[in-house]
Amino acid sequence: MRRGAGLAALALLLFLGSQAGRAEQAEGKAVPPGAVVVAVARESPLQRLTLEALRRAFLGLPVERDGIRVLPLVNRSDPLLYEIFLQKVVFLSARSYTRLLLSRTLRTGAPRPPEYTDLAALREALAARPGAVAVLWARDVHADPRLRVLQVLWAGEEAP
Amino acid sequence: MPLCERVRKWRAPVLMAALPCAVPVGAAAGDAAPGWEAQVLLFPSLTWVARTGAEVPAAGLPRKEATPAASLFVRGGRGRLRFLLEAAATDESASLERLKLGWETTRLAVWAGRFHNPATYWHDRYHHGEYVQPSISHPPIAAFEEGGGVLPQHLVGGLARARLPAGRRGLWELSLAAGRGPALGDGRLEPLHLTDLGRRRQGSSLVARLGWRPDELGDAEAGLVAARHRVPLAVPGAGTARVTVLGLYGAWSGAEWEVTGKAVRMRTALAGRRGRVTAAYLHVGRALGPQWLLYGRRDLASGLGGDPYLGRFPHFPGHGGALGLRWDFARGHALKLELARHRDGGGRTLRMWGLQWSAVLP
Repeated sequence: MRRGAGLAALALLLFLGSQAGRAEQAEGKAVPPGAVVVAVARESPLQRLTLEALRRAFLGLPVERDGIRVLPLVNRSDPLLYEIFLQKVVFLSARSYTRLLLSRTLRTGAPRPPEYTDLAALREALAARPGAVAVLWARDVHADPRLRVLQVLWAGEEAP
Repeated sequence: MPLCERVRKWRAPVLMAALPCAVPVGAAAGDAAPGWEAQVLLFPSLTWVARTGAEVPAAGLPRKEATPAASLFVRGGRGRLRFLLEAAATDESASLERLKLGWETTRLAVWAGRFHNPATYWHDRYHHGEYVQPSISHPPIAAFEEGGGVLPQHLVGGLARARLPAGRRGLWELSLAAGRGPALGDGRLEPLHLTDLGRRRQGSSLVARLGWRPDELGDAEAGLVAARHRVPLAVPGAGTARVTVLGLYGAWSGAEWEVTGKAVRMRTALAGRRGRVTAAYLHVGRALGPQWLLYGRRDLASGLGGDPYLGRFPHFPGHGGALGLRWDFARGHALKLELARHRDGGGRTLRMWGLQWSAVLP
């Protein structure tokens, strides 16, 4: 009996912990500033994207979630962040990723995700389009009230 | 060279390069008119080539040349409707390489217009984007008509691509194409343009390609190709060549290595004579860090000499290879240095040094 109660308490703790984690992600502000996150517009209907769906979108394949077409915006404003994006999302080297996208676009006419080297321009585009998603440092999302964190890709350490 | 001639030489590629400036900036980012979306890409390049070998003048090639070129690519669509345009210009010519209109669903795409032969895997992967292609030179068997290629590379007609799941992550892709193609002129194919339809002798082609990708999202692919071409000689009454092609291809790339290869068996018939030719290429690349790629390609061909169809291309460089180094020195810019050596069916050798800057904009 005592063992059963212990297990139930443990399950309750785990449940509450997971809910707290979700709340942290949804709230955005609680995510460490050095984390790498998927960001969307605050008004975006997007609630969650699996890594597979995110990868598909950033590889130029059509993805629809929560009733909207996902529009990937590639963030090239920070080389370190871009490297993390390549490793955590598309699983390709920079050369392979560029070539795969160009080759797919040339062959099938599939749209190539727009690239942004300017963070301000990226945040503008992200805030203006409900289906847009981009990979950003959490601190850059916290600094813009028009954006929110959709999910954390890498809790990581504080970026240099 | 006089100044006016220099200006004329660079006019076409420079105009092509300037064209995207006339396109609204939003279009490049994917926001055209409401409901429509479009994207523009430009691939400029500048290639310096030096050739050595006793047969260079006989092949009609200059010993040294610098070729400015630009390829403009426009894609777009609305709903399931798609359009795609690819135009290329060099200092000597400008042409519409691809122009097609299509209807696309998740599993099927149907196109009509001028398109690349889907059985030529190299072009189906790189098209006219010099920056996308790892090397300066093409495998001879995949050369464009204007570049001395022996197989029709541009067709005017219809193309269908069907995509079917293969297991949990894989994909089968079947491409079928039927269309009109080039005629055979004096030692080279005369490509068929949209404006040529109904005006001059033209060939016909039926092409099928079945490809398998172990991961739909990845770069690896292997498959089979089959094609049947009827290539009339440009001189009326001179007959028509029949070329049947069967082949297999494969491509794979990892973090450090990349491999692309293809082998084809061609059966030819012209003026009551028959022939068989086998041709193949293997491209291997090894990344030396994030910006450098060392690559090599081996080209092989047998049965060229006595073939009734391939014999019409006396300078087709069937045997040989290329060795090169590629440096991606800035975002969207690459510099390639290549040494190539080839031998044609008559045993004549041609060596080439090439240096090329290429880029993709934006």
